[in-house]
Amino acid sequence: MLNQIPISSNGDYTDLLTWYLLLVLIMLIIFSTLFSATRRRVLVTVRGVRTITVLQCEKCDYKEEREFQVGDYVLKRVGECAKCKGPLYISMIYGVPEKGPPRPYGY
Amino acid sequence: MVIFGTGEVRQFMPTGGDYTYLIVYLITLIALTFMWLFLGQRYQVYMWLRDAERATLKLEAMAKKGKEVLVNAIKELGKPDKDPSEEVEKFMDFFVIEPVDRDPFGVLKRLEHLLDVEREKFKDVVARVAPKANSDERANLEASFAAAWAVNYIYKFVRHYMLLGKKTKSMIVLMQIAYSLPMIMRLAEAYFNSLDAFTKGKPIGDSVGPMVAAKLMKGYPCKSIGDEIVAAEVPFEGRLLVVVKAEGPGGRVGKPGEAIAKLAQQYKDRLKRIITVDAAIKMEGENTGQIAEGVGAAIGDPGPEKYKIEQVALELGVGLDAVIIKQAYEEALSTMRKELAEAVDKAVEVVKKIVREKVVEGGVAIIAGIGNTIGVGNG
Repeated sequence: MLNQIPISSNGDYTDLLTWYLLLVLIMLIIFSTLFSATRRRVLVTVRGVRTITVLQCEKCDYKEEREFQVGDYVLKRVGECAKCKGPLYISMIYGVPEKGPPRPYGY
Repeated sequence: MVIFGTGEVRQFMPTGGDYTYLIVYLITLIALTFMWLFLGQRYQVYMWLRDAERATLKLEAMAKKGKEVLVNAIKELGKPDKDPSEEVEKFMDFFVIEPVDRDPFGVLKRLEHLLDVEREKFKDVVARVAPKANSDERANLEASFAAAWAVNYIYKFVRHYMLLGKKTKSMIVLMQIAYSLPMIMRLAEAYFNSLDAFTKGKPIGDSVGPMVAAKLMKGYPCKSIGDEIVAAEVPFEGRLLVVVKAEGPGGRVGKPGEAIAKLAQQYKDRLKRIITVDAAIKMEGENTGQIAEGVGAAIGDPGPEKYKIEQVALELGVGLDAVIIKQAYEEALSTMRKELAEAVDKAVEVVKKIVREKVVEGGVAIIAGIGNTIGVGNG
């Protein structure tokens, strides 16, 4: 490992000096990058949620799922059962997080 | 001077007599060492400051977006004659001063009074900016106002400490804010994400308590008993359940303590048990939707409502049972997750089991579903 470091055995330290100057330069770049990072534009991101409304029949075992619509609420009556014509109501509303990275809010 | 390498020994000192490069190397080494010694602490301060600045920028964007979402919801639901932006902006500076507690006598009554006044203030501002919204929409807008206010407050709080640390170069100020940021950001994101549910009227994690009550009272007539609370009498295996929840489906919490105290007095001759069901913050490692049984009043209010439940239970010598449905803080505020919706039916069974075990036939139990009833009807 040590013999990979360019230490000259004949008094020529040019390579060594270059390495150390490079090190100082890298440190300066890191410093400036860190401080300039604060000036970057910050984007608000959210993990999207798909909201599902579950409809259930009061009389039989019929169940149906659909996308949430504004105005939906749990125990709301929403028409007739497709199977037995019994009353259909909203039994639950839940959110399923969308897969993938968070997306910018509002887009 | 010799350096022992892998398998060979090298002369480190030059043999030719030119020490220029060695001196430059030593100077660089010493300079770097001194830089590390004297600037290390300063560098750490800059790192904390950078974190606080980045968080402030993100919070600023969240606060701005939160207000935008609120204004759009007001315009959509309330159809105001003039732009509500100014009124919303003005409300963001709203505050409540806690009652003095050096003399603790009557502090809960004074706190309750202040909370009532605060609630009135929210109702007034919503009625003013959204005159055409119906009662449930207004309740949802009140909750949205509270969420947007919370995000804005967190932004101002972090900005304050960031600027104070910058101005004073105080390590302690910056260190405290930088190390608290992960929790603060979690809280801010929870409030920010809750805006979607509040403005659209979707049930949130905190709605599990009212949802348990709603499932129990389903099919039975329920009536308003004041303080935004509804109650229904539900016969169950020879016992009577008096089921209580906030009036849905708007975003209300009501005053369940007051309602339970009233009902307990009304049914005091046959009352055997008061059971409260609420959402509770889980510990890391616990599962969302996990149900636990305990003793006491499961209610997360600042004090007055919980006090009333405990007081009436003590007066009448009635047992207090608590059923909690566990969830993370951010889950309690955002659209209800599937695990929580499914846990509701299990919680209903747990409540029934407690009633069977603790309430004799002919007895009465009060079951209270505590929490925000947004997106949950009244049975």
